Amino acid sequence: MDSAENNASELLLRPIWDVRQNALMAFRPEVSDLKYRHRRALGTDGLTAALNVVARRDRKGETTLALLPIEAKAVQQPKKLAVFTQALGLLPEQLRSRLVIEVLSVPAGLSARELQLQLKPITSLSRGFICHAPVCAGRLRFFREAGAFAVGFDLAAERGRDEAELMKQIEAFVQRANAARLKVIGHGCHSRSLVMSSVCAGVNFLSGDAIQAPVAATEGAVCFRPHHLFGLGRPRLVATNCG
Amino acid sequence: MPDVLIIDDDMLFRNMLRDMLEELKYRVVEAEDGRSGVERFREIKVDFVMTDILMPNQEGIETIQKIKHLVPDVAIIAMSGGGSSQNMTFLELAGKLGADRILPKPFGLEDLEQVFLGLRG
Repeated sequence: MDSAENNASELLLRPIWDVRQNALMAFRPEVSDLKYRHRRALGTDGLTAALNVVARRDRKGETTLALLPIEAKAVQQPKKLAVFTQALGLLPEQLRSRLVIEVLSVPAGLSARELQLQLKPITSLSRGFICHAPVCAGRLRFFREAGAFAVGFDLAAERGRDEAELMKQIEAFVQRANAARLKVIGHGCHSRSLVMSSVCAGVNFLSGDAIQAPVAATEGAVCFRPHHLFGLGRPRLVATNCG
Repeated sequence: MPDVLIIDDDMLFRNMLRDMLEELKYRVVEAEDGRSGVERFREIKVDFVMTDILMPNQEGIETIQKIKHLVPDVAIIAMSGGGSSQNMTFLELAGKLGADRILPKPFGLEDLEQVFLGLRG
């Protein structure tokens, strides 16, 4: 990676809100420039950044998770997979138990069993995994069969789309996920109307600029409540029992 | 005859509410989301605003704040579906952030009449 790319793709941490608990659930490493998303190919820099935060918070008695996005196709590259699993294996068990793998872009045509087997080297060294799907995706039960405990969508790619249509799709997505006994995580909520409709639709975990921009340091993360969306009261720094 | 602006993205609900308000002798104008609701309010100064909370293109609470900023004295009724506790959370927030009355959906003609009687003192 050249220095220009390095500067342009500064690694930040996105706070993820647990809607029901009114608390911070996890940090998710995020590159600041979308064109450098290829760095999600099993890079250990995101892993290190997120787990450093989790470890630091652990020492303060504050429990959070690290959500690590990984492109599904990266898992099919044996060399990268070996380096990554080795890095995971070196981590203390307590830290690994805070790591959730977030699988992006699951290829079509893969069976649930095949996906499960491909992910096993990583998921056996972490808390578990969740999968991403387009908000219009139909077959969410597949992810449950593969062993995921949650399914996520990302609205970042949906900017400019008709919000009324998007809100209906979010509601339908949550219903399909709940029918498959999957929790739902929604990223990229860029407007208050989308945050509110996601909350009311039953999305369990939320992130996006309308809630909080990514932070360079964990101290910038806040305990979030719905009224903070409207400037009523100030979000406070997260602590173990917030919410 | 007093004017009421209805802001709601559900056309069927707007039609039903229009019928009820006309029965109570109010004149009705409509908007399908918060953004167009504020635009309509700028064009036609009304006596009352009834706004949904969950809407695309600017939700109800921001809509209330913008309308109150334009005309602080206008009476605003916030409405939302009572189906989930989160709906109620946002409806209560609307009450704290500028709505003069909150009205959980569904409601009937008598509920509506009571709310307007209360607002008209």
